[in-house]
Amino acid sequence: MPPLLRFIILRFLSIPVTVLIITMILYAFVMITPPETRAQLYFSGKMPATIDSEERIQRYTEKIISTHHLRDPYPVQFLYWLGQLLDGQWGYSPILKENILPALIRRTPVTIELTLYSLLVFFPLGLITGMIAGWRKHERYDQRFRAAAFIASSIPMFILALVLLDIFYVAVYWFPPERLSIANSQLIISDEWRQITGLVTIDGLLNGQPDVSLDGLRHLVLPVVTLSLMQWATLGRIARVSVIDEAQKDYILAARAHGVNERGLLWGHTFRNILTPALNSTALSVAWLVTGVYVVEIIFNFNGISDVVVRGLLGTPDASSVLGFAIYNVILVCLVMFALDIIQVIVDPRLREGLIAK
Amino acid sequence: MKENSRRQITRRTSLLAFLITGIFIAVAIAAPILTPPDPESADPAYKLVRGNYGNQPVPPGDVFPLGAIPAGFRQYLDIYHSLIWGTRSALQFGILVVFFSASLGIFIGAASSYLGGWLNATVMRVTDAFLAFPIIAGVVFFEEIYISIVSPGVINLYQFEEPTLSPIQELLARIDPLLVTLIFFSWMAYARLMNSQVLRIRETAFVEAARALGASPWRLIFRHLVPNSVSPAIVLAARDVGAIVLFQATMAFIGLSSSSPWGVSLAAGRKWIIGPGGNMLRYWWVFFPITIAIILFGIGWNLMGDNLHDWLNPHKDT
Repeated sequence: MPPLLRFIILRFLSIPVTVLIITMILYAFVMITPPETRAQLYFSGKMPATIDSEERIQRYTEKIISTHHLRDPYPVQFLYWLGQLLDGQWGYSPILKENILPALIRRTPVTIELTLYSLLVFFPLGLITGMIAGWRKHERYDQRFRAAAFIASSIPMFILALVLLDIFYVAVYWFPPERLSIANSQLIISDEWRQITGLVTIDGLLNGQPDVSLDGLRHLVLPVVTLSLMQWATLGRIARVSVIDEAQKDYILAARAHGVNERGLLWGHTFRNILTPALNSTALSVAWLVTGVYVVEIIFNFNGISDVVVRGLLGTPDASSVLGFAIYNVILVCLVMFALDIIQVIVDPRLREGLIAK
Repeated sequence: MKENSRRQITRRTSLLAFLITGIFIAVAIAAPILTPPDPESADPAYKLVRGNYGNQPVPPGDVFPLGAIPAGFRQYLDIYHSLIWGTRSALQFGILVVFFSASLGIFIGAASSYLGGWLNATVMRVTDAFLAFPIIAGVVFFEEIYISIVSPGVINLYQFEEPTLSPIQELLARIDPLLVTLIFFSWMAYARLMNSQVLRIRETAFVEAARALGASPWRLIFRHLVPNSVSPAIVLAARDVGAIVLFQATMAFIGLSSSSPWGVSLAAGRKWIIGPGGNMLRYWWVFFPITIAIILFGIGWNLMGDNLHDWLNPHKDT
């Protein structure tokens, strides 16, 4: 088997392991709550309509507790619950009034769109500025870069978002909040709209309505700027430190002795070599990126995945949506980390040929 | 010449780091003197003043040094008070979280890499699994557990009796859920750092010598391995204090926590931050002082981390 394929298969197999570990831990915490609360995880959509008196509710809860073994020891309960999850029954959310898994899947494209555009902005920007700063270590550019990164990572995202909204929405009305304007958000849920990718900016073009794409882009500007600023600082610092480490290596010295100019040294020689540590660090901080994405979603009123839990917390909390949200996110993060690892192996020939282990 | 100017800059930034963090610590300690807590208020971090000052935020003046935000009928939240007591709460929260998560991570990382073999592989696998968990999911999850323990009547719509709590539940009910979440989901970076550091020095001569002299595993870990590999973790911890406080304020602002007076006060003034006609300077006191405090707090601890880095690794130049 070629090393690349072997790596991909092995790496993919680690995803279920991660999800299993996390679900085990989460369910261990769920065990702290009384069985009546746990019974909520198995409530179905039909429940509120048929049950009115307290006695019947108790009977219903009792029935769930006995059929789903909710008084049994942890491993038994956990396995029954896991079976339910694998079966695709992630529970019913009384607030969303639907099953939680389809609700999560339906909201995913919104989150993906926001993340994707932010990635397109901050990844090249962070990499390039960080690399230049590391190459010109302690010069004026580097000092400015570090100061800017310090400030960018210390600014509260929510205040930045409000200040941007204040200037670019209220004052000049260039970039409004939310995902689309009212007319277009009506349009994309109507029958005329063919949903292909779920990303409005791309679907708009595919539907032959570029104005919808444009509207989507306009609404994306402020959230993307807010999200990118912080991620730029993080990635930029990683790139900077990686370049400083790399610049001390012998091959740079050799290339310099051969007469390669500074620009060639940085972009021709160092660049390829810092991609691996940069991608590696990015993969490790994907979970933080996801958290940042949700914060921006909440502030700008994008109804992405975070919508599921935010609504839950405002009204009566429901256990299924919170637990479903957690597990769904772990799977998402695992997939992104997997993708980044694969890119890393493809980019780095040493890893690709299996010469060094990752 | 170049080296010399670099030294000067380092000295200047280190002075700045000590200055900023020093001021925050001083303010936190002196909070009761700077602005005495309201005896009627349940939480000393907030001071609500009764009176009639209109429906708009009250500008800075004699009664309120930094203005106030209307909070309820003829009640006003003193911003200066929130700022000062928020410093105290932020410092406590940041240091507490970092202390516990760093200790946990350092212990797990050092112990597992010392023991090595399949045990280390398993522990590191679990660490990686934790890394895939977005902390915001942890926040809502623990919040949910917390609510269901403290007030089952809310979560379980159909039951309203007074709950009887087990010792674990009792303990959890008394602690801030955000604190628990952050400790539980931010030790991984420390564990990974320690792990790689300890693996590097595990086979060195001085460890071998200590083992030959009959040192117990505990002694080896805590007297030899940890002290010789802990410095990157200390640097990370200093930087984390700022990041954690920023995160705490963010969670308070979006309504997922109520433990940060800074975040809560900003959230209370939310609708005045966007001023009339896009003029955010109209009610600047609603957000400006606290925002500056948060930014300075983050910068201060970040600089402190850089400082510690230079100080602990004098030979490494970054």
